[in-house]
Amino acid sequence: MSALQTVRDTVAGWLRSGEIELFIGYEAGTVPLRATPTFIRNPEDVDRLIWDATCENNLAAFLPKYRGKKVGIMVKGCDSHAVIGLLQEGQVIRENLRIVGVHCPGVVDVRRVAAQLGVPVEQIDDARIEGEQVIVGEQTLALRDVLFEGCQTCTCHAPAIYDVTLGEPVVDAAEGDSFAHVREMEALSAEERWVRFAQELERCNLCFACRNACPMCYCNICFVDRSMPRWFNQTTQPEDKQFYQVMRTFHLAGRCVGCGACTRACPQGINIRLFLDKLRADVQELYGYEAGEDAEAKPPLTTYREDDYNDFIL
Amino acid sequence: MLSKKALTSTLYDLMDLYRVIAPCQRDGELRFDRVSSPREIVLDYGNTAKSPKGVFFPQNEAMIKFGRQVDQFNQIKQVPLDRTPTVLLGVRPCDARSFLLLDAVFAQGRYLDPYYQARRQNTLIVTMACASPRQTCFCHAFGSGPYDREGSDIFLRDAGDAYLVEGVSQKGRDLIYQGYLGRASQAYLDKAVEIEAQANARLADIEPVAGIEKLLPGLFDSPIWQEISEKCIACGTCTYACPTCHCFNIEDRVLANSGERVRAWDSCMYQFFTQHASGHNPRPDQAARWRQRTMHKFEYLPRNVGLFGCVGCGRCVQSCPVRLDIRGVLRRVRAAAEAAATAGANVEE
Amino acid sequence: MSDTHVCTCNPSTQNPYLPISMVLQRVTDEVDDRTIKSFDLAFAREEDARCFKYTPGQFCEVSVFGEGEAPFGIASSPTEQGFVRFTVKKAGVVTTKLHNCKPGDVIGLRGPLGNSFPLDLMRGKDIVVIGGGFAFTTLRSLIIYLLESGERDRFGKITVIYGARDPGLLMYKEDLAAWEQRGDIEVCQTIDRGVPGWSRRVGFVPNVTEEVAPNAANAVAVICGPPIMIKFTLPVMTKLGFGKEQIYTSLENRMKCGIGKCGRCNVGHKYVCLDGPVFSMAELDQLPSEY
Repeated sequence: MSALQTVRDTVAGWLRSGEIELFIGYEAGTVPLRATPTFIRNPEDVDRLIWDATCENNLAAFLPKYRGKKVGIMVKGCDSHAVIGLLQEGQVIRENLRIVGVHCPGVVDVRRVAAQLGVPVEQIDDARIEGEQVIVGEQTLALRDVLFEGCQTCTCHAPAIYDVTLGEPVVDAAEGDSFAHVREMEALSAEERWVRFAQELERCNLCFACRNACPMCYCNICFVDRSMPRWFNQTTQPEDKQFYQVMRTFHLAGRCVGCGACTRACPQGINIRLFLDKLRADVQELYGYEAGEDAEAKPPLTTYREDDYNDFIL
Repeated sequence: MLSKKALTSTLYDLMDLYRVIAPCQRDGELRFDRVSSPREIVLDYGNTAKSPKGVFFPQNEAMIKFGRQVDQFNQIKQVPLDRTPTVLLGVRPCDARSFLLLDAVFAQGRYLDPYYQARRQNTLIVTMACASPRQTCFCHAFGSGPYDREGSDIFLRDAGDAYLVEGVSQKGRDLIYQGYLGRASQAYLDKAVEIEAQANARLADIEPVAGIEKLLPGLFDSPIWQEISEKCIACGTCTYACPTCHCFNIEDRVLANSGERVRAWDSCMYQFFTQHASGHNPRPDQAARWRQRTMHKFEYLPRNVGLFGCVGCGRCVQSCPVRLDIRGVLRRVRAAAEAAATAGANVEE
Repeated sequence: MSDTHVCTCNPSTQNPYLPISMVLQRVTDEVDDRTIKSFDLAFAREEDARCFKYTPGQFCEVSVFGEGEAPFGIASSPTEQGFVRFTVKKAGVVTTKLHNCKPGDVIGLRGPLGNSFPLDLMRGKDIVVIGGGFAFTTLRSLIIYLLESGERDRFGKITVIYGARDPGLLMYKEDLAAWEQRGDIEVCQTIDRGVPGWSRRVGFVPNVTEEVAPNAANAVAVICGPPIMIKFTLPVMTKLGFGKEQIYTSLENRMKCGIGKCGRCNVGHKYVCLDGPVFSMAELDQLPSEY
């Protein structure tokens, strides 16, 4: 029996025993190279569950909605850190969760596939993954070459929290510095950085897919939606888009686990993780802290230590 | 008939008379925008990620400006209407048809939208037939197809190294100078037909949408909406990409000594779209909101204006971060209606 | 709806998004806790005053420039000259700003919008007007119209039932007192629980309705109030013999454009701003209960 079938049976067992009333996993989608989230309540439906490099969504984003309910979930390495982050913030209760932790070598980025083939993304009609290859029509690409950018420097392939695991531990060492893109921006002057930032956001629609795909953006009323006081206009002037991105990024400081779901959700292909990774790098440097590592740890922006960095206070 | 080599000079002539909006590269994406040179125009493409509805119904549009006098806002003025003679070049048939739905909303009925009408009445639609529909295209489910002329003023078909140019409306025919363009030879006509056949062959099988408007009313209280919407993350991307979605918000923006009232796209997918100031929300969960989206497009609009609120362009399917496929929703609706009918029949027996 | 007036002489109908300028004349507190105020607006331009013709039940989009617009039912009757009245409860951004406005301030107005109470149907019949709490605004317009429009004799008996939690929360106290003095209208004010100093009825609106409503045979009822009040009053109306096509109500929904374009206020395939806000219960039965 395949490892995936074992997991399916385990999930069916959880559902039958009542340990969970719902399992959130992935099933095959109708668009090539992208799986789709699936919600299983009936043990007979577990054969829908799949696992491969098309399973890019961070399913932990659905957890806050089911608070108080017994839920099972399939998480990749990065997603599992989001689960820990939600535990840190009291949004989920460990006893209510059954976690299938997946050793993930990386997810495919369909935009990169398209770029390598020199076609628009929508033109990819017939594509599949076979082993270490992505086969698109008559063409073959190495999966490694078309992984999501964050996956190529990933240091968290293994699930950090789980009840059962799926897959073999990933032995490839990460190539390169996972903050290389941040360092590259930091090396620019302030004016150059502003130009790059503004340019990147030109395409933004203010659709909020990034916010909604993020597991840590679970506020009942986001600052964007508040009318009293009204912080935000619904117009898409450059300053509106910049304000939104800056505010969301800072609201995630010390909380973002770097899963990249925001970047993959963006319909405009904006490099959103660039901004968030900058703050992740800063928080690591200033507070020696990474979000989503330890369920008992208190995030630095909610705690005070005597030796906290405070050179910025005059 | 217009040879592709002669296209550039023809476009230069066109741009002397009209503002030309066409697919072009802007900020790293292909979208409809005003072009200042024919070389910017991209005609060999699938479809843009964002629909061209922004040409008539911009994402942000200042409608009214008001100045500040002493302590109050007054001096209320309408923003001048945009009547620039325009050619919208290179839309696909699905998008050309979408304008008919927008017309039914903005340019018909008891109240007419002057901002929309000014642009729409002064724009000529030059449609480019769709030679390579994608796997997510389902215009044919509406009885349309990649070579449908509906909604176009002028229709272009690829014929190898030339385009066949047809005047569809009077406005379109007036623009074309037959002598100037020359008649197409049989070879070109055959080539165009060949390309059309190839395009049609690419269309995936799908059940026609017609009739679904009769199935939906009975499903208002069905549990399918909860199942369908469970993976929806309420981001609104589908409504932004969609050529027929037209829900909007009206907001006042205040600047130092003046203000403006802006119309901005909004989305029925958002949690607070229908929330009252009292906190009451008639559509309190995503199931209710997905029901609204489906009913609006496939029942209310057909009932009220005789048109579906969907042209089958597939943009929502492509851009949805969780791949919620509206074709799957329609299939679900049919299955649920069938199940209910069978159950009803069983009860009667 | 032949009584509904859609003004075509006003230049802003060339652009239905463009408000006309009004000047705030008067602000009156309607309830003791000051959360509800009436705003009397006068036309800044003579031509606008001449063109603005409305019928009871209609609403307007009122602009506080810089904050936004909100829809309010017209509380004044077209028979009241020189001003248009809106009674506004402080709830959100626009209403809060409006509550801070002072006489002389410029307010924007778009309207009249929506449909009206079915005066055609009401002629020759007895009329029961039932209101609860804050929902009495357009009912005031209707009642004054029935009394003052010069065709009182074309309507039968008029019975008004108006209830609130306590006396302080009853609006239009002066109007109610004046109507109580008249012989051509019966007014039953009621509060939920008795308090010292209150000499009128005590009881919930559904119960009072059961006591005082006229014979349903030749009557039309208009009922506006909080959902719970409507929920318990409807069975009483049915018991009294009112058919669903004899009972009318006015719906509220979140609105923006007010002209049936922004896709927000629909209940089923009908837009509250365009096909409503006045609906008969029979019509509402055909619509999903999404309001």
